[in-house]
Amino acid sequence: MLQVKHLSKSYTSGNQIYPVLNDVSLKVEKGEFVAVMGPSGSGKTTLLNCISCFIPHEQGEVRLADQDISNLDGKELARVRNRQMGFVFQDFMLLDGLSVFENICLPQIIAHGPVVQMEEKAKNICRLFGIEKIMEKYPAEISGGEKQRTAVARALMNQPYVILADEPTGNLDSKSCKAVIDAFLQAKREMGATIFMVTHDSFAASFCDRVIVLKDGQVYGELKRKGTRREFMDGLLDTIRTLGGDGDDNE
Amino acid sequence: MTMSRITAKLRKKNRDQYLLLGICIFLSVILVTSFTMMYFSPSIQELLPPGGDTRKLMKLMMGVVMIGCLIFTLYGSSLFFRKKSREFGVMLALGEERGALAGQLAKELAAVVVKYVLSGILLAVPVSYLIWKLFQAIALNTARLKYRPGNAGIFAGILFAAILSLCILILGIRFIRQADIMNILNASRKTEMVREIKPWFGRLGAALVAAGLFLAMAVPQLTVRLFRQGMPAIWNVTYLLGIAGLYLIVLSAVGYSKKGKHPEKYYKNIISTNLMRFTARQTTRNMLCIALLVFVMVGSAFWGVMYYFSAMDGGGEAPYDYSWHYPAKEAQIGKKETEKIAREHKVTLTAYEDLDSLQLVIRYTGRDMDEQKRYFDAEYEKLATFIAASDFERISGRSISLKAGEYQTVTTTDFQENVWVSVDCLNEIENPATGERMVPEFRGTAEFDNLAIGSDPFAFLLSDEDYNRFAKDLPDDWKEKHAFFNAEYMTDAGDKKFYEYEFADAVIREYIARATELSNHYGLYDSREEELALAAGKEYGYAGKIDLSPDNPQIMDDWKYAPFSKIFLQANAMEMVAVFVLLSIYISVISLTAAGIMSYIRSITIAMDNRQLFEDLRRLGTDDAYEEKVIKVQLRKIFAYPVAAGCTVVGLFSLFLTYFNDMRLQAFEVNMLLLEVLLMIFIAGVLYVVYRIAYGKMRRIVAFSGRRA
Repeated sequence: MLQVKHLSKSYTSGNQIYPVLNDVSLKVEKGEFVAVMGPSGSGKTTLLNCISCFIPHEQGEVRLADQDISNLDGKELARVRNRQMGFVFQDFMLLDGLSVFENICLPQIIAHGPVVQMEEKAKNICRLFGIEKIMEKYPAEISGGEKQRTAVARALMNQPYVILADEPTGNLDSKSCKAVIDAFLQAKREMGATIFMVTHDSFAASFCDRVIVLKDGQVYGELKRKGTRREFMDGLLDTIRTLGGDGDDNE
Repeated sequence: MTMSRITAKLRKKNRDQYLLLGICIFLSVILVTSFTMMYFSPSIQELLPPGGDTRKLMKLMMGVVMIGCLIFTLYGSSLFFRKKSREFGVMLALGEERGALAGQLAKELAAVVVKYVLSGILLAVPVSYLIWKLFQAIALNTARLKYRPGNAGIFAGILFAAILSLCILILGIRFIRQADIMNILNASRKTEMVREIKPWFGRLGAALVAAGLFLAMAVPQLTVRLFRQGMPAIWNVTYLLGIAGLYLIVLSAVGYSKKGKHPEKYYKNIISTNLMRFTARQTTRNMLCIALLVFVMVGSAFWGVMYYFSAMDGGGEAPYDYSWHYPAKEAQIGKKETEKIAREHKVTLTAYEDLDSLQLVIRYTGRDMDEQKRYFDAEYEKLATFIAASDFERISGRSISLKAGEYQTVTTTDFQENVWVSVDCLNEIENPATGERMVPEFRGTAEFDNLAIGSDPFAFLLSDEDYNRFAKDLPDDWKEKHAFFNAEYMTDAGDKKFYEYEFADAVIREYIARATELSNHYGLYDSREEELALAAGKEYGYAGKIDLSPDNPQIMDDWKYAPFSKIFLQANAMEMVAVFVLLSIYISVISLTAAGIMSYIRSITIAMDNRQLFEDLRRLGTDDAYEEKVIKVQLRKIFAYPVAAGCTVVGLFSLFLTYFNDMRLQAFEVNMLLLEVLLMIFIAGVLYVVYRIAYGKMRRIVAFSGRRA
């Protein structure tokens, strides 16, 4: 579903060039829930931003559903973002002036989808994520966990090929964090969603099928979930400890 | 649910931003249009001398008004776009096309701009009328300044509104082009940091301000006086040094802090300093702009008031309350007629003197300037007034000791020599009828304002012997008659000023009514100069007739034989300078509005940008009192620094201007400078009110974020 081939990206400051991603390749299958972890400065968020085409990369390819999206023009890219990608941000990025329900409908409104089906679908998703009681509320009136579940619901509205989540649990307490992860798992289970999540949270990552570990802009390794979730989390913690950091970054 | 419904809902939610942008547009359009309506009103255009300095100054002021309004509106629109950026970021991330967002923004902007521009232009008509009427009520006698709106004023307002709309559109296009998802996503983490702010920046800034003002204002005057060389127009760039200095002072105040000798103060203000430091460049630019607006507002109000008091004080030192001079062959009003008019108006003539004078040809050394601004001496030839020493002793009560072949120059009180002509300028006197010549010797000056104002470059005194010799063969064509008198309302009952003004008006009307073609000349007309010009085949610029009617508003300025009356001058001071005072004060009000809005918006921006910081502070255990203190310190800087900087610079500017104008400070000028300090206090008071409003709003923003946390 999502394939990254030999991706490289660097930042320039004055005369200095700082490589952030160096020949990164990875693949995410349809219906898979994959996390990217790594210590501070390993390039996790930069990788996500390159995949989202929010920032350009120098080398390599980003393929979504077998289409190279690296060099699309603005119009085509907007269409891909609207129909084929769903975004979940650490800061939720909900529009304060719209209710929860309206925020969820936004991707369909942008796509000029039929109103009746759109509203029906939005209600179904709200029910699925247990947020139907707050549908008419505004972002300022709901908790952080509810905001993030709203953001997940919005990301799923157009049934994208992949949901790209940037530290979705970064601003949440443990209870809300679990609720958001449950929303992702529900989306995967009941809607067949593919999720690609950048996180520094080993607890959140332990619910994934697979975790890709980055170090110094390169793929350091990959851990597949075997056994219980607890064992998987212990394995993740060991790996992160070996790399020397808790992965808390915003690079 | 459709996109139009969504955008309508977002618009409703963000109505404060739309309203703020609308108010900025409305205010600037209404202020500029009402100003242009007044400026281009036929009443004012007829009063302003064509091509004169006043007109140039007015145009310059109008430019300042427009730029001031443009700045605060664009500042308001930048805040609008800033608020919009989050919406745009989310929409872009969700796959909306940039073009579609641009179209939607264009529609929304057009709706706001059209609505408020139209309201501004339409309301400018009654506003300018009301301001005019208010001004008429305050001014003493402005019947001549009848409100007559002209199309040119409305067109100028529409042109300004069009330029303003275009600028907002350009900002909108730039916003759309620069809208970047990453920037929006990182907006809360993005900070701007100025390069290291050195401890000496503030001192260097103060030195640059002083140097800039000295170079720009003092040096041109000094070079003229010392080297007879003016500075070229490019020299005005030295003002930029002052602006650079002001920037450094504000930058230092905003971004520089160290523990120094008072570490407790440093730690006490550490949060406020931090808030400022992270947006130092933006804040400094903003504060500099406010400081310049403070400069304009104090400066223009000061000059408006100064013009008024200068006019009020005009002729205040003259020994006689009334005087006039007219061609000897003209049958003008005499002592008896004057006494009769006085009786009719219940006033008494407490003194009355008259004398004859001679109009002799003089050749004198004056100074002129070439195109390279080099001053050079030249000999000029024209007519001037000569008085006999004994006549002068009689009217002045002072003793004059002049021998044959000597002369004294009559000057105004406290006359300060200027670069153009010296008091000992006379080279030769010639009898225009006989051609008899005399090379006189300078024997000092004698002050007598009533005589000095009637002859250019000066009036002169001759010994009785010389005077009688010249007078003997001189026909009446070259003679003038002078009258000097005082009139007073001696009764205790009634309004003294009213009766004295009524008398002044009546006697001047009678004087004008008796004027004939003999005296119908422009103020600077000189028959000798005309003769020389025509002989050389040139056109004489001051030839022609004026409208000798008491209702001609220009008669007292344009007429060669205009009578002098202290009470008339003082009573009509406001009328004479009304246009200038009105426009200056109006500019001051506009600048004050602009500075108030900019300071307010800056305060709100800081509150919004630092919501997260206030949330973090709460998590660290700060209470409301601490938060309020941080806000207050912050606001004090935003409001107090630019006001202090602007006031200091305008104070220095006024001091330099008044001093270097004639290289001295008169008591009147010192009083004016003190008055300027009062103006500064008043303006600071108005901005204090804005500060209180901004403080309340900022608290609400921060408190809201606290609850959210």
